[in-house]
Amino acid sequence: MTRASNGEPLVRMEGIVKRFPGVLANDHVDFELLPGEIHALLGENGAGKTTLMNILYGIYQPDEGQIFVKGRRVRIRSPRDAIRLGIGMVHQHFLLVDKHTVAENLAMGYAKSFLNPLREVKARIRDFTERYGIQVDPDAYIWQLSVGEQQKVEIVKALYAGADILILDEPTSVLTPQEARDLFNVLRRMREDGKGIVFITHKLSEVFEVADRVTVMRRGKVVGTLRVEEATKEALARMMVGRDVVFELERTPGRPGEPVLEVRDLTVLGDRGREAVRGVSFEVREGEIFGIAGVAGNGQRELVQAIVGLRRVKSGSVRVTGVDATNRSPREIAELGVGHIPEERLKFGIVPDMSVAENSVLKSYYRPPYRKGLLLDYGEIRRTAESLINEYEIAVPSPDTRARLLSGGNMQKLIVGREIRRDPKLIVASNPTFGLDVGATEYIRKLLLRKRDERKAILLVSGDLDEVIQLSDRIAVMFEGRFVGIVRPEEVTREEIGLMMSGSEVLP
Amino acid sequence: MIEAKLVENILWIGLRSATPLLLAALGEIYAERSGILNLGVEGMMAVGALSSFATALVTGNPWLGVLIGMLSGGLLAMIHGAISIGLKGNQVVSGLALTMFGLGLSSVLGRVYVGNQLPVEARFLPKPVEPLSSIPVLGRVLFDQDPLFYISLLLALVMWFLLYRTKYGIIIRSTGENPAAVDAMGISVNRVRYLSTLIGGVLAGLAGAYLSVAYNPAWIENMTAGRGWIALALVIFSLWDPIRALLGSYLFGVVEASGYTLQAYGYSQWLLNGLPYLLTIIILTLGATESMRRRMGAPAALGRPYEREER
Amino acid sequence: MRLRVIKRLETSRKTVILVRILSVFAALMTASVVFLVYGLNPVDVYSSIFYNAFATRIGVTESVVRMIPLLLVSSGLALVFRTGFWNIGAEGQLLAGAMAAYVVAVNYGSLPSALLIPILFSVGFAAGAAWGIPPAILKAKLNVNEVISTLMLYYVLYWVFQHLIHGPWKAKEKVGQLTYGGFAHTEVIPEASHLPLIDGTRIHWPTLLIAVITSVLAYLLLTKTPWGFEMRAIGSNPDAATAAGMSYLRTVILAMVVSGGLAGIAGVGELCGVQKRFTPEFLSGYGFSGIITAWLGGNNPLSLIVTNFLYGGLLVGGEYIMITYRLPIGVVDLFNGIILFFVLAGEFLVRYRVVRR
Repeated sequence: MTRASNGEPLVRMEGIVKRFPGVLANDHVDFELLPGEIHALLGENGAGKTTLMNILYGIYQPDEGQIFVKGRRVRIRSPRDAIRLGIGMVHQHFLLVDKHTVAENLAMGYAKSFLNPLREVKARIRDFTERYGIQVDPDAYIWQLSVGEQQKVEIVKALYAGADILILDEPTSVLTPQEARDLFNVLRRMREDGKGIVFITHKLSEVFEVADRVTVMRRGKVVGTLRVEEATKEALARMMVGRDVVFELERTPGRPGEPVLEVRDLTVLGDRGREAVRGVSFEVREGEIFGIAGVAGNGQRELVQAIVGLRRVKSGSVRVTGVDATNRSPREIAELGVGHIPEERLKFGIVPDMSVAENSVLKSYYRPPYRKGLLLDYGEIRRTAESLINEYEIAVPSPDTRARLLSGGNMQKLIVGREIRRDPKLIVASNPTFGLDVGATEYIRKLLLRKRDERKAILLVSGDLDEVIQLSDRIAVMFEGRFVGIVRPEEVTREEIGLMMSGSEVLP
Repeated sequence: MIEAKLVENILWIGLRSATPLLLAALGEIYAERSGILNLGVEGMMAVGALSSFATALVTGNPWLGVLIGMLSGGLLAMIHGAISIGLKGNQVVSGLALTMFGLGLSSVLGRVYVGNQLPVEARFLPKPVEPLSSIPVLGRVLFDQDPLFYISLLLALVMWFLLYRTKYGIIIRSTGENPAAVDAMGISVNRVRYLSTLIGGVLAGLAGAYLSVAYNPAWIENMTAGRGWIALALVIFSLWDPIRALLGSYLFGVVEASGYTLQAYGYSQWLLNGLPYLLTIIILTLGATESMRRRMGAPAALGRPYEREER
Repeated sequence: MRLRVIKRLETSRKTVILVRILSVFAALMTASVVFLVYGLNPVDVYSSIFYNAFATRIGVTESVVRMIPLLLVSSGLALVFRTGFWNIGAEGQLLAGAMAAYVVAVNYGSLPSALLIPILFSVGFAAGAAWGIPPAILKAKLNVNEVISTLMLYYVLYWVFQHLIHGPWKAKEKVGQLTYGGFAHTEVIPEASHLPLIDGTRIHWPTLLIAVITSVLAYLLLTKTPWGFEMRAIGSNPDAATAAGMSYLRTVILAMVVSGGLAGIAGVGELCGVQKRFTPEFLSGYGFSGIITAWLGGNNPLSLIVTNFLYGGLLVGGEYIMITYRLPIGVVDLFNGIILFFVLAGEFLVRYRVVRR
C-alpha cells in the first residue's frame, strides 16, 4: 500500500456541532481527509456520519465549528459552494431526474455551452469511461437504468464538476458484491489520481477491503481515527457499538408446524412493467422464521407487496392458512391473520399527522371495540395506545402526541406492537431494524424470535445479511426476481450466501 | 366563393383571438415546467391589459404600453412567487388570490378609463405583408396581422428551442421534475422558479396588452373575460410544450371564432366554447397512462414547494 | 447577522390565532391605500363596512344569506381538503345541483311544496355529487391531477349551462312590456319550488338549517367516525393509509360525494331560495370563495360557521360601500385578494420560525 499522504489535508473539520430538534446529531466532531486516500467513516445508523458529510456538502449548516478546505477556512452555505470547492457527494437516494437522459442530467449543472450542451457532455462522459472505467450510456433515460448504473451516473456527476473530494454515502447498500468490486476499482483509480474519498459505511468488511484510514463515530461523536493496518475487526466493532458485540442471539432450534403462508409460482410486475418477481415458490410454517436475503432491488419489495395485497399478482398464487389470498385487498389479507411491518416506516407505517393513539389502531379502527355503531370509541383507542406504550416501552409523552415526533426506534416499536396486538398468524417484516440504534435493534430481533417461539410464522426480508442469518430457520436468497436457493443457516457460510446474492448457485 | 371568404374570416379572427391565449399559455408553461402552478393568469392579464392601455392612451405609443403591461404582469407574478417560493405557501390559494387581486385592481384603477378608446396611432393594427398577403385564404390569415401576432408566433418557436435545446431549458424542466436533484447540482431552485414565474407573469401581461392595445383597443371592465383560465387549460392541452401550445391556441381560437358563424348553421356557439375544456380533460386522461406520463406527463413536482430535507 | 428559517414541529393554537389576527390587520392597513387613492378616509370606510354588515338588521340577515352557500360549499371542501384532494371545481358542482333542481322544479311544479322541496334538495345533492365523482375516479385510477380536472369540468358545465339558457331553456314569454333585448334568462320556477323565507328577510331557512346541520355533521364525520379517520389518514399519508388496508378510491369518492353534494345543495338554495330563475349571471363565485373560506377556517367545519358569516359580512359590507362611495365593482375582489395574500404570508410564521445565527 503506497500512497501519498504528505501535504496538507484536503478537508479539516473542527468541533462541528449540529442539533436537530431533540437530537444532538454531531457533538464536537473533528474529521480530516488527505489527498490520495480513501477514508472510511464508520458507524451505526444514526451515529451522525451522514449528517457530518451533509454539512461538508453544504446541505446543513453547522451550529458550531469550523471547516477548512485545502488549508483555507471556508463557509459552505449550499451545495453550490461545496461544488465550487471541489467537493462532490453521492447520496444514498440518488438525485437524478427520472424523465431525462443521463446526458441531460449532467448538462443541467455542468455544460459550458448554452446551445447544444449535450454534445459536449457526451464527449466528457466518454472521457471518464476511459480514465476510470465507468461505463454509462449518455442517451439512456434514468428510469431505464438499474440502481447500480444510476450510482455510476452520480459518480460521473461529481467527477464532472471537478470534484477532488468525493463523498459516497453507503454506496454498496444497493449493489451486488460484483458491482461493489467494480466500484472499489473505480475508487482506487481515483485515489491514484490524488483525489480524496470519504466512504460512509456501517460494514466492517468494506473498511478492510478498500479504505486507508477509518474514522469511527458513535452517537454523534468521533470515537477515534485509525490507519486500517492498525485496526482489527473486533476493535472497530467495539468502537462502533461501545461495548463488546455479541454477534449471536440466543436461539433454540425451531419446531416448524403447519404451513401458514404458501406461495406458488408467483410472478409480479415491477414499477417499470418488467417482471420483478419471476415464478417464486415457498412456504412459511408456524413456529418458523423464513428469511429472504438479497441485495435491495432484486424483487423483495414487490414480493412482499404482492403477499400483503399492495401489488397485483400477475400469475401464481398466495395462500394464507389454506385460504386463497391472491389479489385480495390489503384489508382482506390482514383479516386472514397477516401482520405487516413495512419497510420505510415513515412512508408506509405511520400517519405522521395523526396521534400515537390513532396510529396504534390504524388497522383495526373500523371494528369493535374501537368502533361503536357509527362512531369511534376514543376512550378505547387511548387505552389500547397506553397499553402498547407500556408493553413495548415506547418513549412518548402522551398517546395524543403526533406520531411524527417519535424517534425511529419508538416508531418501529409502535408499528410492531400494533401488528402483534392484532394477533396475526403470519408476520411479514421488511427490514424491521433498518436505521435503528443498537438497543432498538436488539429489542425488535428478540421480539421476533419470541413470537416465533409462540408459534407465529414469520417472513423476514432484510438487506442486512447478518440479521437474516441470526434470526432465520431457513434462508432464501433472491436474485433478479428468483430464488437462487433455499438454505439452512447452519449449513452454509456467510460467504456462500454472499456469493448466492450475486446470482451464483452454491450447493452445500 | 362566399364559403371561402367565410372560412378566411373565421381563420383570421380565430388566429387573432388565439394570440392572447398563446402568449399567456407560453408563460405559464415555463412557470409550471419549473414546478410553480400559477392560477392567477387571469388577474395578471387583467392588470397587464389595463396598464398597457393607460400607457398607450397617455403616451400614444403602443410599444411603450406593451412594455408597461409586461412589467406589471411580471410584478404581480412576483407576489405569487414570494408567497409560493419564498414563503412556501399554498399555490392554489395564492393563485386564486392573485386572480381576485388582479381583477379587482384593474377594476378599481381602471374606472377612470371605462369607455375610453385608443386613438388609431396608439393601436396595433393588422398590416398586410405584400405580396404574401395576396395568397388566397391563408394570405390574409397569416400575413395580414398585427406585430404582436408575429411576435407570439416567434416566441413559441424560441421558447420551444430554449426549453428543449439549451442548458437553461434543461434546468427549468429538471426543476419541475426533481428540485432536489437541481439543488444538489449547486443550482438555486428558488432562482430558477422565480425567473420562470416572472416569465409567466411578463407573458400574461403581454397577453393582456394584446387584448387592450390590439384586439379590442378600448378599456372595458373585466375585458379578459376568462381568457386566463382558457390559457391554463391550453397549457395542459399542450402537455407543457410551446409548439403544441401554438397549435392548440389556434384550435381554441378558431373554435371560438367559428361559434358565431356555425350558430347560423344550427350549432350552438356555447357548446362549442365548452369543447376545448372537454378536449383538455380527454387529453389529460389519455396522457395519464404509465408510459405516456413518463414521456409527457405533468411536471412531477408541480405545485409542491421545495424544501431541503431537514429531519 | 444571518437569518435562518426553521420548521416548527408543533404550533400552539395561540400563535396561530395571533398570527391570523395580525395578518388581517396588516391587510386592512394595506388596503387602506386604495381608499386613500379615492380620497376616502379608511377608518370611515372600515367602520361603514363593519356597521352595515354586522350592526344593522338587514346587514346581519344579508350576511347570513351570503353565508348559506359559502358554508355548504366550504364544509364539504374542508372534508376533501383534509383528504388531500384539491377540489377547486365546487362552482361546477353547485351549478350541477341548481340545474338538476331546475329540471325537477319545472317538470314537477304541480307537486305540493312539502314534497317537492325535499326532492329538490336530494336531486341537487345527487347532481352535485355526480359532477364531483369523475375527478375522484380519474385521480385514484390514473393519477390525473384533480386541480385541473375539477376546474375543467366546471367549465364544461358552465358552457352547457350557457347553451341551455340561451337556447332550450330560454324563457318564451315576455315580462310585461319588456322584451329583454337579447337578455337570456329562463322562466321563473313554479311557486311550489320556492323555498320559504324568514319573514322580512331573504333568508331561505331550510337551506340555512341544512347548512348548519351539515357543517356540524361534517365535523363529526371527520373527527368521530371511521370514515373521517380514513379521510384524515389518507390526507396525511396515503401510502401508509393504503398499506393499512384503507381504500383510496372509496375514501376520496366519499369525500367528493359529500363535497359535491353540499355544493349542489348550495346551488338549489341559490336557485329556489334567492334567484328563482337562471340568468347568465346566476353564478356569483361562491364555489371559489368557498375554497378560500375553507382554507381560512383551517378546514374545520365547525369554525367555518363563524368564518363564513364573517366572510359573508365582508361581501355585504363591500357591496354597501361600493354603492355609497361609488367604488368600482372590483373593490371587493381587490380587498379579498389582499387579505388572502397577508394570511398566506402569515401562514409562513405559523409553520416556520425565523432565528438569528
